[in-house]
Amino acid sequence: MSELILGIESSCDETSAAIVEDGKIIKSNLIASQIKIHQKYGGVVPEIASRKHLEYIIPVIDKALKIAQTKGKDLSGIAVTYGPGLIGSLLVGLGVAKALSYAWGIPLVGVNHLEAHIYANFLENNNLKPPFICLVVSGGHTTLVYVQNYGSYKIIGETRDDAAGEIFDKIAKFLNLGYPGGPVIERLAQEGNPLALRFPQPLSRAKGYDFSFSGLKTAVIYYLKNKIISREQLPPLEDILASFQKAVIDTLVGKTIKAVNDFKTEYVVLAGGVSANQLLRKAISEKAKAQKIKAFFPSINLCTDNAAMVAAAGYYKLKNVGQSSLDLEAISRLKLGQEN
Amino acid sequence: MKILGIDTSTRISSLAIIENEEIVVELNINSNYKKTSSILVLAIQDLLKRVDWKLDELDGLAVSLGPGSFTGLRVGLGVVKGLSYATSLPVVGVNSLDVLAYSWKEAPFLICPLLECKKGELFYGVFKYLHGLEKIIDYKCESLDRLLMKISVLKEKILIIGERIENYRTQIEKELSQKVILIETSPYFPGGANVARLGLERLKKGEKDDIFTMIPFYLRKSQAEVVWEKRKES
Ligand SMILES: [Zn+2]
Repeated sequence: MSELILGIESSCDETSAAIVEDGKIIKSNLIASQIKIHQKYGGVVPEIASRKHLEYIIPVIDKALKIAQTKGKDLSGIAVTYGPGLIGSLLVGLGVAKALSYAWGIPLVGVNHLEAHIYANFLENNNLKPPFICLVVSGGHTTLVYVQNYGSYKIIGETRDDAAGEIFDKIAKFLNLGYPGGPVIERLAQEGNPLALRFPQPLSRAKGYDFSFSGLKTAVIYYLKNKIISREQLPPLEDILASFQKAVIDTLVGKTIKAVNDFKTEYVVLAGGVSANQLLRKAISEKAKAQKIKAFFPSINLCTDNAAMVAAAGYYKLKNVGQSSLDLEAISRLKLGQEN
Repeated sequence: MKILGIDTSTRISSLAIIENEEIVVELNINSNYKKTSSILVLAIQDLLKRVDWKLDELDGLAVSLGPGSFTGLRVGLGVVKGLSYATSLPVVGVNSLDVLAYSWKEAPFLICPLLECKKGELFYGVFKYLHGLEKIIDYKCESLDRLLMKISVLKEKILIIGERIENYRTQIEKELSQKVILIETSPYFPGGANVARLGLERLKKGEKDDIFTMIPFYLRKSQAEVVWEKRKES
């Protein structure tokens, strides 16, 4: 008999609920996005995000169940993100998930948000199997993970300061391009010359797999400020953005491919919001092809935060690790591998 | 009628089940809000086990909507929404200041309940209880100075109750010693039992709230919104 998992995700600014069958088939995947609400503040405001989650959560869950034509009692489990993320936001999803689990008498399983992003790839690709290297890259994370086996992870590199998605947002904010920065910069950069300017790529030659992006951010902003102060002519905005984007992508791809070579894996995988960036996808695919390894990334709608990936991760965790207790705590800085 | 009442507006989470206004079982937990979230559903399970009832044997869920701790309120309402969605039990929200005033309804004075807000501000209201709660001063979030100014013009004696009132005792007594009676004893938090009682009153009138749209009574905008509006004005 098939097993249906209700996934619930509320770790940042998307309220999402999904029904996934046997960890593979997405029956429904509803996302209530708050991007428009946070736009005028130039980033996610935690208190506002928490308030909106509490407003959206029941309608989103209800719609996910209805579209999947599923009743609460037909479920085999309720999977919910319990970290990492904004604590106030996590608490809303977790509170509702626990109440549903208790009232329906259905097992609860707490899922790590990063693990969920990785599982977005299993949802769509039957050919993908561990071990592999996965780059989880979004507005909140830039993490290189060695996936040894299902549920077994080793973080081999992380950003020491800003996440990659975060500097797209910050550069966009500096240039008044709006929020979020990723899509608008990607669009403008398409028209620009990525070789017009050379921006630094901190740590790209360093040992290990850690990232650092704040130096790049500062370099771009200083460059712009100096030009403006000295009244020199600025190169086209498109060129600046294309060169900036290239610096980010080269750094990400360089470290990721280095990890693939060092760990000798056959696959390389992208996950998280920034993995929707077409140039990053293309760069990884080309490098992978040259090295005769296979690259995987989720379809665009599974790159951003969504509950289908949470349900998929929860399905396997329920099978392999078992259910979580009803006193499961939200952990804002939950690490991969630090599971309860 | 059997009602479960939940209040998480202060650092004391309070849960009670009442049957026709009588308390059947009650539980108060003094903890931080993060802890509240981790124990609330287990506490509800425990409460029902003690009386050997099932969740769906209840007739309704009453929840304190605030004002109070934003995080606490969201945890309480989130859990109540989930329970109601799963069981179809009706939900009624009540105001936490009403609940605190109601706890002192026998007092022959005006009643001013206080709950802590952020940055030297207090949530309060002034009530009179005759046949029901009557509002003399509407719910507010203001500094102690402004609160005392507003109270000073009222003619009647006033009972002040609430969270950590010892922090304000000196100033209140200095400015209004003749007028006020300060209460430090319990109940100084909105208890689950009175949440349930006020909820029962609403249910009996045929009222209930919609879990699809229900939100806490925050009474204060988020800091980001306040800053944004100020900047827009100037
Ligand atoms: Zn994410």
